[in-house]
Amino acid sequence: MKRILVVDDSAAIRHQVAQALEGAGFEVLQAKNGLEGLAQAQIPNLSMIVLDVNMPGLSGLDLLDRLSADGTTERIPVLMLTTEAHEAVVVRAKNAGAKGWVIKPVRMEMLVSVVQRLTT
Amino acid sequence: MKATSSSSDQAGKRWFVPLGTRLAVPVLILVCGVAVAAYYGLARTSRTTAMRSKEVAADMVAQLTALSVMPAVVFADEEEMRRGVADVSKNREITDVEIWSVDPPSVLAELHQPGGHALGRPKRAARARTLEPQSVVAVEPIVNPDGKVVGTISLRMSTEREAQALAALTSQLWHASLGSALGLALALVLVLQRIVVTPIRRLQRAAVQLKSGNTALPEALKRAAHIDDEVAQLTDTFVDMAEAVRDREARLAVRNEELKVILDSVDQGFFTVLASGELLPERSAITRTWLGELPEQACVWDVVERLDSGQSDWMRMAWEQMQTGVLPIEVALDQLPKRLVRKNRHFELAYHAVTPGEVLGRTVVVLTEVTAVVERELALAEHHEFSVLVEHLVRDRRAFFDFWAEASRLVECITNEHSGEQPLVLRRAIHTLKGNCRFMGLSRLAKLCHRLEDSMAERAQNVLSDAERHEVSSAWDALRSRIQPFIGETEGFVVSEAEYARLLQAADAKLGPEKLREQLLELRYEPTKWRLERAREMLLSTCQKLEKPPPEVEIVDNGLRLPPERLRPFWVVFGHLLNNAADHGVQSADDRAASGKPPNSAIKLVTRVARGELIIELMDDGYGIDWHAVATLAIQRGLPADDRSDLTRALLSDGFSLKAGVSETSGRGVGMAAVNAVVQSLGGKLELESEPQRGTCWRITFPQVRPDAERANESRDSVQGYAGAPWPNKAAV
Repeated sequence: MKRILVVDDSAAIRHQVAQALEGAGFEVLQAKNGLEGLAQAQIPNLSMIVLDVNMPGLSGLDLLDRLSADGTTERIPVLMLTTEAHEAVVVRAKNAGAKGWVIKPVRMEMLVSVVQRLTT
Repeated sequence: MKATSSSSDQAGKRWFVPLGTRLAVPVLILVCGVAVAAYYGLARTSRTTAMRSKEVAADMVAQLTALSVMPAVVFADEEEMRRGVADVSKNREITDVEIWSVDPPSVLAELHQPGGHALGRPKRAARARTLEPQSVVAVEPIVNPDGKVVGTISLRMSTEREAQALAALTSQLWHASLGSALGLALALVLVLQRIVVTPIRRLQRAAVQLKSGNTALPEALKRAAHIDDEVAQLTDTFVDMAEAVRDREARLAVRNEELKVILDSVDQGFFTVLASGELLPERSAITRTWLGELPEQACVWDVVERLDSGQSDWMRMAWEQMQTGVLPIEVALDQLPKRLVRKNRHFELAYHAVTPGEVLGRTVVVLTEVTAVVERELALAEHHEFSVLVEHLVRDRRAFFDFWAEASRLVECITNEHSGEQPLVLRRAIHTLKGNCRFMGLSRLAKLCHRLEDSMAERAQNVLSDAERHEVSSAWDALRSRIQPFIGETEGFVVSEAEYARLLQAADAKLGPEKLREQLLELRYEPTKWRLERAREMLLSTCQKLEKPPPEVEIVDNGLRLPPERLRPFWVVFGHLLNNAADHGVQSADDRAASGKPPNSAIKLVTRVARGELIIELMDDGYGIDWHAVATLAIQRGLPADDRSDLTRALLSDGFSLKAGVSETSGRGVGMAAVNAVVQSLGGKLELESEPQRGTCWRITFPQVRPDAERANESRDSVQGYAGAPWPNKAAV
């Protein structure tokens, strides 16, 4: 079973994403902020990380930088969730190694199809 | 029309060999092979025939000579034998003659022409012929009348003349064969060229013309061939196919024309976009009205640039993401801009992938002007908000004016072009405006503020763009232009029946002018009860929004009246404390039962005076503060965390929030810091008492000031009145 880490400060979104991904046969780990995400990213056999951009404390982009700089996590594909269409945010995410980005709110079946594609 | 790939592209990678060459080479090899074989056959036959004739001649000469020299051999007449040999040698072709006796074997007579050489004793005394390279050797036995072999005669006859004749003949044969072969090959190639290569080349040229769009067939192709064969049938089939293509193109042209009429008549813009983002030239006429003439190789982001330049980079990046194929097409399309705004005109973009499957092919983009729809929605929302505002105005005029004055100040602070110079102030202003607008039912402005907060957080910059500032001021101006006529110029103030009666009573009691003036001044003050009742409304409204059960709110105002202007900034940010109380102080019935508490949450709002200081308290019996979590977060942030006062300071610092997520009401760590900043600016202090699972009490204390100053300020300027006012103490606390 493929293991996905969802990092989002909104419990509602985390829950919604986890439910959708578990329904599609994934094992889902949840982190409610950047620091928790950083710790959980060390758990072995992670297939992918779904990462919110806007989080208090360690933001999604800062976390992405940290993941890219770490040899054990740099190869894990990361999908960024962003609330607004900010070019600068996307450019930074792209440069930091994010595989792709999706604007919130996103329909859960769409998110599942993206995760399925990126973990194949 | 562009073809993504064609067979001619693939043909370009192959080695082109003309059909004529491919036919001529094997024909030439075949014919030359036949010619060489014929030549060798004829030459060999000629040589064999000539040599056999020579052998017969040598044999006959040998037999005749043997007969003529037989008597001389029998009688051992050497003179006669030499004469016989000499006679034979007169034939110039005979180069050597030798007569041998059988017993004993010895040469009886011999003669050798110049260049000749000895023949040697024959191996057997019997007739024999031997073919040498340039001569024939014949041996004939000499038999006496008794039939006994007494000797042999050997002679060598030259074949040089025959060899010369054969050489001449061979040369003639070689030339004849080669000439015939070349002639035949040329004739065959010419025939093949005429009946195969030329018609096929003509067909190929016509096919190239057809491919390039020229459906007119060359005259030579149309001419019917006299002889029916495969090439003629191929030509006929090609002509039929070309005519079918021409016919289909004509029908397509008609259909395109009809489609163009439709496209030119609809009020939607249609574009077909290639995977590269480039637009195909076919598009509906209205697009020219909206966009003007686009350059020849315009891309889809050029369309966005013309309508809403701020989104063109986004379109380009989203399209690039689609090209990478990282996301499924449907998801990638969903990331493209959907709404464009140009000078108050609103456009909607819809995308439909034409190519099925997961590979990005052509996409149809539909551009629709939705200005009327947006305006209608806007009008409805404006109407709703206007109704809500009027309701507030009618129900609680003072509260409305407070809100209006403070919101105007906040909008000014946010939209000021120097707002970015004080990022913290800007952030607090947006947060406070959001809370107040939400309470007043101005949901659009509240949402706009929330979006701006998100936007600043994502950019990690507390600065608004010009467009964002403009958006706030436009929204506020629209609201103001509608509500201003209802506000009027003066606010006035309200006197209750009880207060009026008390004033009459004072007049009847003939109190001194000072006392009367004091009581009249007090009427100008605002009862704290009003503020606390408004706070109760806000609390209940926020609980409803958070889907929490309504708490029991107790108000203890102690009959206090306060100068209205001085504390107005505090009451504006008081909403943040109320949000906090709704979020953390109000529990579900289940949570409360688990903690052994009564089913309903209880919140108490108090204003009182103690030791001459005004105290405002907000108490709840909810979750209480998790001090351990506060300490952990404070340490993570590098803040002091040694005792409760350190932790309280940490809680009141900017951006400090225990909430994992940001919601519309709380989580950014802005509200508490804003309250603390305002309280301090008014000379007060903010205190906090809280125990986990028991509840929280926020206590705000404002110091008493000198009565003299109060009087002076009251009479001069009511706005500054509080600066010197003592607390009009109606109830001893």
